[in-house]
Order: sequence, then structure tokens, then C-alpha cells
Amino acid sequence: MTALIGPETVARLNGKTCLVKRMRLALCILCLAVCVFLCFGLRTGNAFRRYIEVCSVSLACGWFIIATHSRVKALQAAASHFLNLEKKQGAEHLGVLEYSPVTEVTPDGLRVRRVYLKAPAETRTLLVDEFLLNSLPPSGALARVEARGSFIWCAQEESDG
Amino acid sequence: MVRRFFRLLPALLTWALLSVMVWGWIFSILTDAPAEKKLIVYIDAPVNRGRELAGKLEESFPRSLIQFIEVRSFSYSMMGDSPASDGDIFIIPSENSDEYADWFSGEPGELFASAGESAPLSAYVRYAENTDYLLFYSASSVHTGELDHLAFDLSALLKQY
Repeated sequence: MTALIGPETVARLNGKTCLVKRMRLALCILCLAVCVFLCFGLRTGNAFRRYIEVCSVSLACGWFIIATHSRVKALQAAASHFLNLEKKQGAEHLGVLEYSPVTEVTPDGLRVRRVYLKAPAETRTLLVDEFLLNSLPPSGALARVEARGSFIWCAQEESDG
Repeated sequence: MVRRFFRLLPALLTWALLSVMVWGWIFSILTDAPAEKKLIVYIDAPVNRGRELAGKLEESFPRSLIQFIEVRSFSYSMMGDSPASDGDIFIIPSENSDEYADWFSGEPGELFASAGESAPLSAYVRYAENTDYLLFYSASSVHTGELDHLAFDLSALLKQY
């Protein structure tokens, strides 16, 4: 087995989670400040227009938070997953990686070996999108990445050396 | 992306409904004022763009004296929680004046709009044909006294629109 993801990945995940949470909090505060500001100077003539403006600001802020909620959950799940692995296996074995013993040749002439990384569903897409491309061992470039069941399947280009 | 959108749709709609209701409730509190700071005109005829008219009327009064002016048709009191008898000024067809006599101060009604002649507020009120409209002051209004006669000022202003 080879460690694919190290402690720095957990730190990066936590950092991203923290950043998204701070952005959401700042947006909430800003939204509330804008809404309170719009409530000043209310008269009968402008009350309905101000109400529409306040509702619009409130809706935009709330929808942004709802849309990023799943992102925050995925980041937290990924960090939690790797923290648990770290406790069980030690910091140097955060990713369970299995190399296929078979070398294949792709139609476009690349010599590749399949690499399987077991990861829970909520972290799969995150890993494929965010970290896998940056965390491969230096011995080969990534030719193809897919999520298959509970595994992430990567076709890693074989180095000549 | 589309699947994710439909998965989030119930939360988005719930937030939209909640936001509209909560801000509507907040605005109803913010746009209310004690009787001393508010003037209400009830008209026994359909009223168009009442908010616009009220906004213009408000500009003629210092905000320290009057915070809100409202121009309502009698149908408003049927849908809302404030009865028409809470008004400060009533504009009523002359043939109906006896029906609401309990609401009025002891003074006789002033002719406000005459049938067949160009009437005040004709851009905002759909008067009945061939009907004279009288203006009465409320017996319970706080703006018809010697120290506070803003209702009289408002009635003079109404005739200018």
C-alpha cells in the first residue's frame, strides 16, 4: 500500500472548510447590515419598494448559503474521513491505494497502470476534483480519473524510469 | 448540476417563503405608528395607487409630527385587522353618511367632490357617477383638537390633488 494523501490534505480540507464558513458568516452579517440600513427612513410611499429590496437581498444571501451547504458538508466529511484513517493507520497512510499489477496500453499509446483509492461517497468527487490531481506520487502523470463504486480509478501513466 | 438544483429546490423554496413572511411581518411593525404620529383617510370608493398618494401627502408634514399617512378604501378594513372607524378623515357618498354617523365628530360634512364637476383625487379615486361625496372628521381622531389639528391640514391638502 502506498500513502496517497498526507496530513497536509487534512489541513487543506480544514482550511477550505474554515474559509467557506467565514465567507458565509461575513455574507450573513453584510446582508443583515444592508437589510437594516434599508429599513431606515421608511415612509408609506417607499415602504413597498424597500420591502422588495430587503427580500431580494435576504433571498440572495439565503440561497447562497443553501447552495454552499453541501460543499461545506463534503469538506467536513472528507476531513473527518481522513482524520479517522490517520487515527487507525497513522499519519503516513491516510490514503488506501492499490496499484493494479497489470500494465495496459491505451488506444492513444499511453502505458498505464490502474490505481484504486477507496473513499466514501461524499468525498469521492471532492478528491477527484480537488486533491487527486495534486497529490499523485511523482513517479507518473495522471492519464485518466474516474469514480467507480466506492473506488476512484485512476489510470497513471507509467514512467520510463 | 441540474440534479443538484432539484435536490436543493425544496430548501430554496422554503427559504423564499420564510423570508417573504418574516420580512413582511417586520415591515408591518416598522410601518406602524401610534395614532398621534399617523393620519388615516378612508374613502368609500375604490382607490388606485393609494400608496403613491400617501407618499406625496407625507412630504407635506414634518416627520417629527407625522410618520405615516395612509389612504384606504373601505374594502381595506374588510381584509385587514383595523376597522374603518379608526380613520381620521372619511370621504363618503352623501347618501351613505347616515350609515356611519356614529363615527363622525359633531360637525356637518364638507362637500368634497361634487357630481358632474371635476373632483379632487380623481386620479386616485374611482368615484361613483352622479354622486356627491362629503368629508367628515372622526369623532375619535387625535388630530382634530385645538393643539393638534393636522386632520384639517390634511383635508385641505387632499383637495389639491
